[in-house]
Amino acid sequence: MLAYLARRHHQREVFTNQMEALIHMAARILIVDDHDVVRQGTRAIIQKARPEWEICGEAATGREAIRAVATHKPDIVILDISMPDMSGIEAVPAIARVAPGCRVLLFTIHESDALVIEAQHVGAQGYVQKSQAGRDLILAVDRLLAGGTFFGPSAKSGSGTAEEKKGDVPKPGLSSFTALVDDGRLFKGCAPRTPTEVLDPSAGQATGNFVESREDLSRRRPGILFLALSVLLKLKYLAPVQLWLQICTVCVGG
Amino acid sequence: MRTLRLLVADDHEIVRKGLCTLLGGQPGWQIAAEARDGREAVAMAKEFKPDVAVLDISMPGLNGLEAARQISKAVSQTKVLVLTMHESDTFIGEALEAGVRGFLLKSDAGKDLVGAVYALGRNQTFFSSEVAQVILDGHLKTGIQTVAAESGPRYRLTGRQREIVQLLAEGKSSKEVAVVLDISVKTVETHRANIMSRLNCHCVSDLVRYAIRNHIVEP
Repeated sequence: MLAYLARRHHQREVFTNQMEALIHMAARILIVDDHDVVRQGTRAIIQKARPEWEICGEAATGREAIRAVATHKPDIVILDISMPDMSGIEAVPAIARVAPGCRVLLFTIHESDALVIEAQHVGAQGYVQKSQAGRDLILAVDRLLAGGTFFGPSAKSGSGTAEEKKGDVPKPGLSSFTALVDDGRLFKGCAPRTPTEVLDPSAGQATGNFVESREDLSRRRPGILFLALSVLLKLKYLAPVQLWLQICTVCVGG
Repeated sequence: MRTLRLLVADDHEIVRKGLCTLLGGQPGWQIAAEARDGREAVAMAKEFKPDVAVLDISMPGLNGLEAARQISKAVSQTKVLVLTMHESDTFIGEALEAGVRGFLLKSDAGKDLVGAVYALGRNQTFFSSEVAQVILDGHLKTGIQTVAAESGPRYRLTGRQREIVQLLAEGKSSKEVAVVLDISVKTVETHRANIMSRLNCHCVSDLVRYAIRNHIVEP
């Protein structure tokens, strides 16, 4: 049991290291916002956290953004929604036509579930609220550059590009569920997915939509033990549990 | 030359960082303090006594206008520059009375901010061209005094009552308001009753509508 946990932890570490190596290559970023102060602030946050990334250009309207994408061919566009002339949402499909490989991260003051869904419909790969810039911006850009998506900390869908399709829009009620399933997808063949995020308070809204039937619960009973262990790991109370497990293993083995 | 000391207040970290980048790079200017809301801005202004305070209008807890009013009263050497998302004439008059000496649209901050802070540092005023146009239009049409008089209802509330209106409109209960303002729940309830009767409001949603109409909170 402990060996399993150690193996999973090691696999997660290897994956994280691989992702970090992939991400910390030079990336080219275009910043789009009608407010100069916000463009400056975004630049400052990015340059502090990831000095190897290049801010290849800036734009102040949707139309300017499309022209800038065609000119500079960035890897990712950080795109405001409310702008004069053409909004960010309207610009997304045009950007996809002009530069199909370019990732689009919507970055806005608006905190609206409906807007998040619309963002997914038009084909954006991410959505970050400006009020959460400190927590989410760099994380979201990391995910998108790695080929994943980011629609808020409760919807951690960061899997590989092969499984993400433009038209593959999760229904609102299932979005948290698919996020929880996601970590399991990264480690195919491993033991039951532990919905640690359900009990992790930092996951925020994940708990509301996670619905299980009675049958699911009985099938997942073996998983409850792994769940408990994961929770204890998170709470850093592993030492006594480790000791207890070792004693159990010895007793059972003996 | 003496260093120009600045206070920057905005509830969005990204805007604060942008302001610090734009202002901190100027030779001889120093960002003395950063604040995340109106209350922190007032406390920091009192502590650090900056030469110029750059405040966002719409901040939760205590909005920029109220903070400007309190800062102007408490720290006479601080000149207040206000950043706003839109140029609405109804509160420009009130802002001027609150001691605000500079008005800048956030969309113009990039090109005008340095000039605005420079002007305020020299005890002059600064208004974005759009804001100046609004003031001019208002003056030519009816005169500044009439514009101020038309915003009558706001002046029937004291500063403390306006603070309470903002907190209530943001969804706080009387108990939470008491904690934030460090007064007793009974005092809050008394203020609340007075406010409701003065404004002829019968429920919290009336209060919220009033707060939005009078730019005490953003919708």
